[in-house]
Amino acid sequence: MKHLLNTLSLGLMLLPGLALSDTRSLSLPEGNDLAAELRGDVAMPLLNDERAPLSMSWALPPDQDLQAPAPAKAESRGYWLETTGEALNRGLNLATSAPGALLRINALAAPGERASPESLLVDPARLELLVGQTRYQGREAFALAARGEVDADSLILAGASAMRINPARGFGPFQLRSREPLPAARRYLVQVHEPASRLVLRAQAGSDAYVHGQTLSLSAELSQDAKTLAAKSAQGALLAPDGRRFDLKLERDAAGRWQAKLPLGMSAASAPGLWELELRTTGLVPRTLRSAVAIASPTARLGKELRLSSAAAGEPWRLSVPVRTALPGRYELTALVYGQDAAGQWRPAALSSSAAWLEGRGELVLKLEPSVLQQNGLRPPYALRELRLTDQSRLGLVQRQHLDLKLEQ
Amino acid sequence: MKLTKKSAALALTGMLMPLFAGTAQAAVTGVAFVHGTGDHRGDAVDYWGQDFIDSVRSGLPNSGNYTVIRCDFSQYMWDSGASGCLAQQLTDFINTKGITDLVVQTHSNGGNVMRWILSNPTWDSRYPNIIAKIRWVNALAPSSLGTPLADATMNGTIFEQSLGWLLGYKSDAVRQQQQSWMASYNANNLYGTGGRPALPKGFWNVVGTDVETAIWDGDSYCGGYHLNLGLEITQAWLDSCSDGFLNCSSQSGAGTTWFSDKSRMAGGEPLSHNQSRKKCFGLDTILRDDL
Repeated sequence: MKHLLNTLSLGLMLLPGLALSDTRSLSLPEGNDLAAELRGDVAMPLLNDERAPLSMSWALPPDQDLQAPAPAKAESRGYWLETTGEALNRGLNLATSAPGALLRINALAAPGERASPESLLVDPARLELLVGQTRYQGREAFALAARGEVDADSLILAGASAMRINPARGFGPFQLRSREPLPAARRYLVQVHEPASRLVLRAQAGSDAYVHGQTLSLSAELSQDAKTLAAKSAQGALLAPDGRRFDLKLERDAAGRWQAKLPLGMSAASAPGLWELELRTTGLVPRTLRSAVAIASPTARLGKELRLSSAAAGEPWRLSVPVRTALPGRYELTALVYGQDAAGQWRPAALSSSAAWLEGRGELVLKLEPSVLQQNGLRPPYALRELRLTDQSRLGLVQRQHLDLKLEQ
Repeated sequence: MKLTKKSAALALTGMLMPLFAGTAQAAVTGVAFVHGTGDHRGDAVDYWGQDFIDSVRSGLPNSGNYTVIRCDFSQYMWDSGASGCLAQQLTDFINTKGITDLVVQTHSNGGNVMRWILSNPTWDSRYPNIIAKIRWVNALAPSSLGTPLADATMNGTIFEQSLGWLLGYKSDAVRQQQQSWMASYNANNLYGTGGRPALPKGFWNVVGTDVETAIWDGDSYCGGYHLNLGLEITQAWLDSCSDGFLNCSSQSGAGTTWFSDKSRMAGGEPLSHNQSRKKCFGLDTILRDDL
C-alpha cells in the first residue's frame, strides 16, 4: 500500500494568481488508493439520518507527524476450540507450547435459550489437570482461578471461568477434566492463551480499508522466534458483520508464508460493524486469529472537477467538490491541509470536514477559514494532501485520495 | 502539568477559550461525568460514587453546574443510544445551565464515545456546539486502542443474522473494543492516535499502571476489594503495565498523557481500572483542582 500511495502522490497543480472573489476549476489527479465503481446494493438500516449540512475546521499541531494509513498487524499466541460437556467429563486434550497457559471457558447457549450465564458457569474448583497419568487439582493445577461476572469491565470473567495453569506443570499436552459431570450435550468454548509462547501466528491484510469491487489480499505467517514454520494445515475465512462466511484459499509462497486473495464481489453487509479475517493453523500446537478489516460499499464517489473560491479577505475559501451517490444518505468530505513554516517546510495546518444529505448528484463544500489555517503561524501557499469521502449513513469510508493540490492566492 | 494543559488548549483553540477571557464575560464552568462500557442509565451515580462526584464538583465556582451522564454504552460508539444519548444530555446540560466552559471527565470506553463526538463534528447537528463549549476532556483510563480482554471475550463467537449472537458475549461495545477493531476505527473514524490528525480539543489521559490486591493492604479495598481481586486474573492477559483491564499503551494511545497514577496518587499508589472512577488516593482532588 505504501508503494501505491507513493505512486499516487501526483504532480503539483499550481494555481497562478487566484484573485479575491475568483473561482477556479481544479481537477483531481487520476488514481485513487481507495475507490471503486458505485454500488447501491446495501440493505443496512441507516445509522445516521441527520439532514442539516454542517462544516467545521480546526487547526492541527504543526509539529505532528501524520502518517499514511497502513494495515494493522495481528498476531496470536493462542487458539480456541468448541467442545462438549461429554468431552470435558472424559478429559479434553489441550496442547501448549509454554508454561503458564491461560484458559477461559464459557458455556454456549443453544439458539433461543435464555439460561443465565451464571447458571452455566464451570467452577474451576471442579476441574482437574492431567499430565500423563498424574492428576492435579486446586492450586497444584491452576495458579490463578476465578469465575463469574465480577464486574462489567472484567470481561474475562463475564459469564466465564478463567484459570492459569500452574507454571510448575510445564508445557506440552494436558488433559482438562471435570471432576463432576457436566451436561454431556452442553457446548463449551475453550480458549488457550499462551503469553510466554514463542509460537506466533501473524497476519496482515493488504490494506486497512477496502470497498466492494476491490480484491482483498492477506499474508500470514506461523513462526517460532524468527523462523517461519510449516503448519500442518491452514484455513481462513472472511466473516461479514451480518454473519456470512467466505472461505479464503490460502497458498504457501516460497518463503513459507500463507497468501490469499479474495475479490470483494459479494453483496454489502446488512448489519453495521467491521468484517473480520479468521485464520486457523493446525499442527502440534494450533493457533487461531481474528482481525478486523473495514469493507464498505462504494455508495458515493467524488467528481473530478473541483471549484475553489474566496469571497473576500478574511472570508473562508470554499472548495466545492461534486459527489455522485448511488444511495441517498449523509456523506462527509474531509481534507487535510498543509501550510509552510518560516523555514519553508510543509507542516499540517488544519483538518476540514463538511457533511450533508445527498441524493443522486450533489456537492460538498469545505470551508477553509484563514484564521484556522494561520493559527499556528503557517503561511500560504496551502496544499490539500488528502481527501476522504465517508458514507455517514452506513458508516463506511468509500473513497480516499492522496494528492498534493496547491491553494494559492 | 496544569500549565501545559492550559497552554495546549490555548494553542489548539486560539481565542475560543473562555478560560482565558479575563476581560470578556465570565465563563460559566461546568463538569460532566461520562461513564464507561455498559448500560448505566439506572446506576450512573453509583458507577462513580456520590462522594467522588461531590468532591470533584466542589471545585466549581457553582458546584451545581455538573451532570452525570446516564446512557447505554453497550452499543457501538456511533449508536444513537451511545454518542447520540451523550450528545443530547450534554446539550441539555449546556443549555439549561448556560455552560460556556465544559470540562468532561470520562472513564474507560466513555473516552471512545466522547472521542467519537470530537472526531466527527459534522455527524450530528448537536456536536459542533458541544465541541465549542468543551475546554478539555480528562480521559480516565480510556480504552483508546482496545483491550486484549475484549479479544478474548469475542474470540470464537458467532453471529447469525437470523438469530443474533448465538455464542458468547452480546455487547457491541465489547466487540468494538477488540484491539484490531479499535485500530480500524482509529485509522478511519477517530482522531487523536499516533500518526493521525489531532482532536479539536485536548484529550488528557490518566493512566493506571498496576493492580494491588494484597488482602492485608487497605489500599486494595478502595473501589471494592472483590472487584480488584477480579482484575488480578484479567491482568494475566495483559502487559506488565496495565490497570487490570487495559494495557497502559491503550490508555495513552490517543491524546496526551496527563499523568500516570503512581506519579500523582497519594502514597504513590496505582489506580486499578475500578479505582480510576472512584474516590481513591486523591484522584478526586486532582480533578477538582483541574477545574
